[in-house]
Amino acid sequence: MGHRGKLEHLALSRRELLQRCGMGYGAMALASLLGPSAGAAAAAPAANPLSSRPPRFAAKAKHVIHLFMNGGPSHIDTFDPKPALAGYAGQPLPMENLPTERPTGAALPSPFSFRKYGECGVEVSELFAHTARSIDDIAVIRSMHADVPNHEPSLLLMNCGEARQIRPSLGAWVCYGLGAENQNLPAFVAMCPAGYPIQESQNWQAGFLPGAFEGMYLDTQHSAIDKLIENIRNDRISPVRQREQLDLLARLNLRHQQARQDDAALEARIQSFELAFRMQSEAADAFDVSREPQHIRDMYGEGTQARQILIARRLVERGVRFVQVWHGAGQPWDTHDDNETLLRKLAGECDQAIGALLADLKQRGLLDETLVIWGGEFGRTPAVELPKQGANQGKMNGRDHNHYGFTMWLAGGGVRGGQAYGATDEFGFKAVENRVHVHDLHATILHLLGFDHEKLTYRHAGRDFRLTDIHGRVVRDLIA
Amino acid sequence: MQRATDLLRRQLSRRIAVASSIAWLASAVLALHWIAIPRCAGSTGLSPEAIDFFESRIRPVLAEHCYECHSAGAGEPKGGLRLDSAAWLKNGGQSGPVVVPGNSADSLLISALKYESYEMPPSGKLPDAVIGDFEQWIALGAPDPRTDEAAGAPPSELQAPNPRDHWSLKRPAKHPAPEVRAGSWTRTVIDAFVLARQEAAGVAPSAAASPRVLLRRLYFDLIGLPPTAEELDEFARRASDAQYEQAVDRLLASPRFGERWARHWLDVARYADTKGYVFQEDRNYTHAYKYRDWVIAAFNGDMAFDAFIVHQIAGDQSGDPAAAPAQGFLTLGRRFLNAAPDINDDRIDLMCRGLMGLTVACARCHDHKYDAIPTSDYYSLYGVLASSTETPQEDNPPKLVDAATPVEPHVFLRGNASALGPQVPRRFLSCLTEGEPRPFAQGSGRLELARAIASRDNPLTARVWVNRVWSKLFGRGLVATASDFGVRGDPPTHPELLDWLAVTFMEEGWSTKRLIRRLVLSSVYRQASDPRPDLSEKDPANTLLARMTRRRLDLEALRDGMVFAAGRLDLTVGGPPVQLTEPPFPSRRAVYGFVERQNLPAFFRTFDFANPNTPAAARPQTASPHQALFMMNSPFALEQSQHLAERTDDAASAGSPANDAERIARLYQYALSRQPSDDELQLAMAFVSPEGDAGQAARQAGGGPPSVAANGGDGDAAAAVDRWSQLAQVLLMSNEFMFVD
Repeated sequence: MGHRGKLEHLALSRRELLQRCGMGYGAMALASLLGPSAGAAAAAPAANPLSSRPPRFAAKAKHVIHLFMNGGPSHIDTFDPKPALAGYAGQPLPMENLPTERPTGAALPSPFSFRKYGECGVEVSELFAHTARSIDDIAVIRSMHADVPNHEPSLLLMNCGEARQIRPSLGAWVCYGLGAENQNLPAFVAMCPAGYPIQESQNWQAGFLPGAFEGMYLDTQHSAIDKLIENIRNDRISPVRQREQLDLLARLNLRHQQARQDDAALEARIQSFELAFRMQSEAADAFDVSREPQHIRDMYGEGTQARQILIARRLVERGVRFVQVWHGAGQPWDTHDDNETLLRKLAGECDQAIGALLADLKQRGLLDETLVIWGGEFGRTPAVELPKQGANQGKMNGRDHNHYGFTMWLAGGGVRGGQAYGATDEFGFKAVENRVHVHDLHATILHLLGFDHEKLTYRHAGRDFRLTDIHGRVVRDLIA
Repeated sequence: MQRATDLLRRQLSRRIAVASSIAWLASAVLALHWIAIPRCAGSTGLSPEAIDFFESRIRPVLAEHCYECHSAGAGEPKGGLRLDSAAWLKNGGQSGPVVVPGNSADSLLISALKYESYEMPPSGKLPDAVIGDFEQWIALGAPDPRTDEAAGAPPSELQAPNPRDHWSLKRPAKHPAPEVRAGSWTRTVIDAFVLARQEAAGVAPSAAASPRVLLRRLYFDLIGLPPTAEELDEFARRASDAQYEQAVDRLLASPRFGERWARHWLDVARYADTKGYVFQEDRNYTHAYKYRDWVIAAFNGDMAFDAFIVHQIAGDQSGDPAAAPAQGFLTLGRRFLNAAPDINDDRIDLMCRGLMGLTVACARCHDHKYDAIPTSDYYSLYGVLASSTETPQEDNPPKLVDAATPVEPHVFLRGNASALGPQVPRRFLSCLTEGEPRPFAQGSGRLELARAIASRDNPLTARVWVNRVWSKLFGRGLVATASDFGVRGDPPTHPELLDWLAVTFMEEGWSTKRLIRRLVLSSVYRQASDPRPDLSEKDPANTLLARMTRRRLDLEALRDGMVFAAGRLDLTVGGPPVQLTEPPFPSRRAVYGFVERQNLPAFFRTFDFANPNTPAAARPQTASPHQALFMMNSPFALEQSQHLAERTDDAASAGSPANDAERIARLYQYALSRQPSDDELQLAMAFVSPEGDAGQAARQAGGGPPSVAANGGDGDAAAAVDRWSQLAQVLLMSNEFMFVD
């Protein structure tokens, strides 16, 4: 089955599915969800769009965890050391500062120390010392570039491959391509504590894809399951009594169905209640980190970041396809001021947990099939941001947005770890070597998941759309 | 000047089409005889200087820097673009033509070499002198002497029929009703068209639906609510054609009709009460609901559909003061951080795809790849909108008025507003005009545009609307792609019927009510939806319409149906929106719900609400476990179940088995508009009996997960309330409630 076309093409035919699954009971139940054969699907497109589907070609990555440092993390202070800046501290750079969102001035060297890690010897700043222990599994891309130095368009570009128009997000495309592995949990989860990042739910939108592919937002400042997932629990009924309700429902539906034998939509809805019933217990389990042994919880550390990153691991372990973990509401990594103290705080909140995530996935044998993505929507300037009326209270200790060059990293999921790919210029202003545009990153991510980014398309408004639009090239050097 | 360029371009593309099919033939011939035929430069008709220029300055560069990715030798050429053959080069790639002969500024090849659009070649920008050679070459008309021996067949699109000959661009004709054998089945002309195709395919129509099934279907389709048990009983007792016609007319006259059908229109209009993502300004469209109410009133008053369109596009000039909210159609879209090109693009897409089934927005960056829509047409419409100013109104959504000085639009090269291409006049689409479209003469041209869309001469508008109405009543349009009537859309299953309906619709004053009346009175509509094993192989998608398609309730019908069953539906018409998903849950109809474009509540997404960012062609019908969770656990579902149960509670005689049976019967009447069967009664009796409850308490004591007090210690009365609510909830969850046969 290809991945062109419309909703009705999403369903495998019953026969196809049964062949694939060897007629197990689970397969039968699932088949009933998938609706009739492809031809009939047009008449009754009631199939579950989240049924699991194989990619176009064999690939290692089956799940994605996208750690989104929203606001634009400074590459110069984290994964892209620029010792040359030290020689110009407080002086103009020997190049013209590239125009960014706000005026910038003299060179601002990183206050953080870097050292080599792992067998590969890639340099990482002290801010990500825990993460750096897994550097041999990480491909650091130091030559990322985007299109403009503003949050809104850059967030949409990073998430949806297009800066302004309504387009499906990466996670939605992945779920469209692969379906959900675990029908008892949402396929695409977006976690952000205490509110939305800017651009809000557009960041995980389904766009013109069916709404089922949209990320399910969870406010991870909460830990109670019924605050995390709407309608997951009903306090007015015991599970036993609810089971009795569903048993009665099943009997009534069966009577109704007897005169309507040929309608897969009826059967699909019957099964959806059974799935929902199981989802109640499975979701409660998946989101409850207190069920982890103490040593694992210690490994991830304290705080919201640790909790949500640990939840991310629990989710991919249970077959959730795409998990996006946002650092916080608004744009926490937007260090226009107080770059040093803010970065220390932000990295302090997540580094241990990220390091734990990589090690934990690896010890469970999950790192091979889980692609971990780290980064923001752009990076930051090597030159200090100049004070501006109303913008930064007269401080001169922060960095402006920088889309000309920044860092992201990939780990696991078939990535060739232990390398720094590409480079920015001497000062970290602009990607100059082996440049990787956001579209190229998307093409590479889809490739790692088993898709040709030019062939994963969806027909909308008279056109076959794709995540990379008319752009993108797979960066082969990043693939093991 | 522009007209000349357009003309040239059109002639050119036609010539390319001819030339390339000749080239294709020639290459086939050459493939057989190429050894015998000496290469002869003169045969290309180019001057020796032109050939020399190409061979010395252009071909070597192409070969060295481009062929690696853009030739037959590259396997799958990048972007579908091949530069190793004259015909392929002229055809361009996925982004459209890359060379506009005579116009290097408009040629994608040049901007790519200059690293202004693409960055080609990616290995490094070529020297300016080389790029200059290419500019000169294109200025010369891009002479290309290559005879393409090795080029293979040119792209198939070039051999496709002229898109201007596409069926939907021809005016609909009123075909006579075809002869059919089973003439007694046909009540209307519609039936004759449908039956003729069935007979040709050797298929017979289904039997008529039972009166109860038919009336329930009619209620949901026309007013979005179920009939009461009494109405059903009454109709079933005295069912006749005359009774049915009366029911149709009664429902068409109901204020509920406008509420139902306005929502269908609001799907097309990508209606929302908010602006989408904004940075700091107020995100609400405070008066959006005035537009929604205007649409409801328009459907209830059966406003002529052509006037309905004109008001929505040019309400400032259409001469009806009551139409002040109408332009909310255009102005209530997403704000795109106030980027005018994107706002106008959204409006062009709405007018063209929503009203005419044309994907004109594809032509924002390049000529439409499949349909007869050049980029210049897009910017002609863009100019109309750019010549209109948006102004706030006191109590209504913003409206558009003509700017003092109209804008003479430029093409934006590849959609980039800072790369101005040639000027184009403000005028209507060329593919919908005989000959050259005349420039609009009044102000912005918006009124002229509205009239051109809502014109009897427009081959699309009536067809598209008639098809949308059909799709709402039959579950699928005669054209399945309701918003794409272009080359890439599906062709109509019954083209003559579609035309007949469109022409009749226009002849009858663009009356939507008459159209709907005609459709629901047909024998096709009155068929049963029962299984037809004989069709499952022959016509699985039911394109022959030999049975009715069973449909799931949409979000509005489900919610309204639940509140209706609970006996609490508030039938107030119009007014400011209500928050559907926040307690206390309003009992207004769902059409009055607040639509938050940016962060649509999960309830909307879960139940396949139309995406309020784009004119919706149809709603998907998914069956996700999240829908089930909503029915099982949501405070809203629990509240309606409890109200439904309370409604059936005759406190005076509670408790006795006879009274329980009566109460169950009442539940069935309110929820499913019918009496329970004997075994349904038995099942329900067992479910509500306290013995079941005692067993449950014992099981809970055994250590199941805790449940809340209302179910446990509060005594028999509270437990009984819960048991009846739980039964009511089961009925609301049932497939019988959720599907319309």
